Amino acid sequence: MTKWMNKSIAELHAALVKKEVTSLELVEDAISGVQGDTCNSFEALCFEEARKEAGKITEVKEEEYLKGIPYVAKDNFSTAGIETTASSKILEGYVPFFDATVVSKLRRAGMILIGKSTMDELAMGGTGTTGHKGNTLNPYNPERIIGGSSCGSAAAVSQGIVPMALGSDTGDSVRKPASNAGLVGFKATWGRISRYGLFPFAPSLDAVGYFTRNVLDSAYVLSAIAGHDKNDMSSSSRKNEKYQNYVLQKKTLKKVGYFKAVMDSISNPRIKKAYLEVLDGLKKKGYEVLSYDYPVELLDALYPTYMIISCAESTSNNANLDGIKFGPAAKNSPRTWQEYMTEARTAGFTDLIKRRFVIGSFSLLSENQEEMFCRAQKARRLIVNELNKFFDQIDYLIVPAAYSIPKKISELSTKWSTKPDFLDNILTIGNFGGNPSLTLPLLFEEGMPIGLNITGRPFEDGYVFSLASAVEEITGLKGLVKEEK
Amino acid sequence: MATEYIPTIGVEIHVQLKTKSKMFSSAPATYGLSPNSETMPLDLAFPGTMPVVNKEAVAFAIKVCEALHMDIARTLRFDRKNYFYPDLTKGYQITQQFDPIGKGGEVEITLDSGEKKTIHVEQAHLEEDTAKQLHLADISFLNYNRAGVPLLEIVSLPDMHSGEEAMKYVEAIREIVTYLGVSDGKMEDGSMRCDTNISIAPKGSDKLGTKCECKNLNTIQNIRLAVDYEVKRQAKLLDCGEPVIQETRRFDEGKKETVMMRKKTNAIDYKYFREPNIVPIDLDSGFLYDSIHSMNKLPSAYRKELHEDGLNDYQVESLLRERDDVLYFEDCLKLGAKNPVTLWDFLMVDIKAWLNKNEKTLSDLRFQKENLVELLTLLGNGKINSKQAKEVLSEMLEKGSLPGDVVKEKGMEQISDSSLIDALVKDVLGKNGQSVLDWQQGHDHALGYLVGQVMKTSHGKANPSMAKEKILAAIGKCGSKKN
Repeated sequence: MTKWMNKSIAELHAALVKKEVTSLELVEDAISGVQGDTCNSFEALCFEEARKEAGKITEVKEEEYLKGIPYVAKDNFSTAGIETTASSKILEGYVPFFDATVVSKLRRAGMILIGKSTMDELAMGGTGTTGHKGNTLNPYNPERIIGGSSCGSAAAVSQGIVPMALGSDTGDSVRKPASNAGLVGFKATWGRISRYGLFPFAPSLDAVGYFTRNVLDSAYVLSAIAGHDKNDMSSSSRKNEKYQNYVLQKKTLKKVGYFKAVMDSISNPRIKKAYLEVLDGLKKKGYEVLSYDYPVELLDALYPTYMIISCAESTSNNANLDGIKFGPAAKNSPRTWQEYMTEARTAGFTDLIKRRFVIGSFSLLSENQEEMFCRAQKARRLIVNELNKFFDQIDYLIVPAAYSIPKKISELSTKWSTKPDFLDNILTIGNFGGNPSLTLPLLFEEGMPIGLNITGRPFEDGYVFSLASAVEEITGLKGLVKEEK
Repeated sequence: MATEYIPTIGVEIHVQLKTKSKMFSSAPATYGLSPNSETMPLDLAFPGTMPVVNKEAVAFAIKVCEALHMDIARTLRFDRKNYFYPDLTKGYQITQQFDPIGKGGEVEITLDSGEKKTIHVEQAHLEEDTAKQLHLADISFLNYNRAGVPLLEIVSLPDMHSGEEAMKYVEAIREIVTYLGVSDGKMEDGSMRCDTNISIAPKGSDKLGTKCECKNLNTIQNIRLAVDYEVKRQAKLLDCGEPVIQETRRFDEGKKETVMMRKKTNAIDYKYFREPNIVPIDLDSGFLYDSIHSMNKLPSAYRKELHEDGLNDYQVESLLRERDDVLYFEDCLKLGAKNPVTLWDFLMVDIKAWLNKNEKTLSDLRFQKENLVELLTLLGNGKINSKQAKEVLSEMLEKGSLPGDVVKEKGMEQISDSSLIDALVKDVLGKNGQSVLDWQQGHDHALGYLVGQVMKTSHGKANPSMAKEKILAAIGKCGSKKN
């Protein structure tokens, strides 16, 4: 049997149009991929529904770009009839009765959901090791993390099981694992894709994202899922675009910038060299490359600002998980509602989650709010104001998505660093500003992929794709699949 | 001599808005149907659901703010109030903690003494209601139909100084929201809920005393009772040298007194912060204009007009109690009812009595407003007398008959034809020569007798004043032939 799922959406689409393959054959290929998964990538699966849907597809037209192609959704997208747990015990057994807007949009575009993917518990984590199903592994090296929180989606696309998988990105939860797994990981402008049905972590930062293996596929997917949604007031009413045209017609902007402080801090010479080579390649393609003095104290503020805001919002967003309406009920015959909720929540969340809730609550207490939460909001404002100044002069921010190869799982610590390196948190800047941001492969280091990240102005998602496509030409790294040999 | 205390009272009123759908979800806001049938995913806080602001609720709030002369926010913002409670599905309530839709208003009240007072309103903000709980011995039930129903919380300044003032203030707010048609305003049903903050301080003191919050005031009358009781209770404590302790109390309707619910020492920290799923909404000036210009007429405007129509205070207030009554009244005037006092009498005495007896409302009446006006016109033109008019009304109420038909059927129409009356008078005078003579010799009782004879001969239909006039013309002045 031909292996199909390691191909791009573009190739699969062409084959479907020419009837070289049927959607059902693609689904079967994806299912055998799931069965061969070596990374612990999946939560609930829906093979039968997928086969049924695929069976109905007899013809794919040229303009039906995504029709008949299998995909996977991170387990924090609400899927009617399919258990959705956000990889947390608190939601085990929860079967939603409505679809997230992106899921229904993809269905209407003809894409076929074959299952849900593992994640860091409730999307809070960056290692892919905190979900209720245990560690999700990096196909390039099972001893090393794939990163998170969208770990299962990254592992599925990277292993060639599906050509696209939905993720969500609050800090770098799509763009970091994309870097670690050699993928294109895109997070759209805040408000460009409806978040209705995405389990919230920190709504002011949350964005729908996804993985593909090349930039053009990524642009096509955005065209299918962008747009206003009456169920999400924060979704923009701006007109939807044909984002693939930015790539196909090379519609692009000219000024590419990097932060001087970031450039100066890159210690790995091979990463720095690859980064400089891309910048050089862009110059050759006619782009102007500029250095920008973004204040280091604001870069240092990224991590604490992110932690305070995201923990504060998350403690509130997850207050609905009390065991009363859905999720496992309290078992030890609690006598009061307080006992009931306490028991359900104590059993349902791991300690790492509880720690975030405690920090979030603490920063919101009236005696601390001014000093912690409000200060974090002010810091966010300063960070974004300075980013806006950058974008007043320059069209793109371009940084390495990672500065070393992924950590070994055995070396992980749950201790929080007291002196965080801003390089590890640089991608959060795109969440603070709500900017479109994309990671794509930059180089291989010790057999592990490392990505490059491009961030653009809000609602210039299309231009991000066009620059990414230019970078893709320079690196030649596209369509990467790590298959079991 | 005992110290004189000045009570200070502030009132928070939760007004349930009767919008078609809930504050942030598209489920109906009626909440009367079978438990948990009027819900959408958001109302049970299913993961991934998001709030969408109800435009109609915003329009309703704007109307109330305008009626209370408040500054209306041009940008709407919402915040989260975080706490755990079984009736709070999301674990937070969406409210407007930092930027209320309305700020700084006022409302006028009239005390029983006739004195008028202005009560200042601090703010009004939009928020959402909670689920209903039912606790039995060993099981609790939750009904989410009410979860998410829009509320407008109206907060007064501590501007009131007696139970009467607090009660009149709540009455005034109730009147406004019901007249605007934005709420049922029924305290007994919970569509309007009041909390009062009460403190007392020695007269002349520039510091307010420790306040107690009083909840569970299910009728307007209870507000007065609770405040008056609480003022006395606090005064007694202070007189005995004991401090007033800050606490939440509830009104016990049976005992007519306030009882302690909980101490305020461990107040919950609600950890307020901006609702991130609702981006600030700039209120379109056209939307503001439309909301304000579609406001129903307010009770204060009716009050002025009705006094100008010649109704007294009692008549005005009884008519204003229900907006339907005053609308009916106003419509009848527009349809041509000439005498507002007679109209009031027919509507508020006879018709209301019949409706009450039969447990019906104005909309159940079997005749049209036009028919009532026709009846009043017949009376006003002297076609029938008032006794007959009430008889006709009774037929209209019972059978839905038309007034003209009843008058004809019962032969009530007065004879006002001049030649017919002439004939009647001629006949009576011819048969009663002695009475004519008596009159002419100065016995004035004879006139009444003669008019009575005309009425008798005409079977009561002759127009009595016309008959009297014509008799006088024929027989001259009283005592004209006196010796």
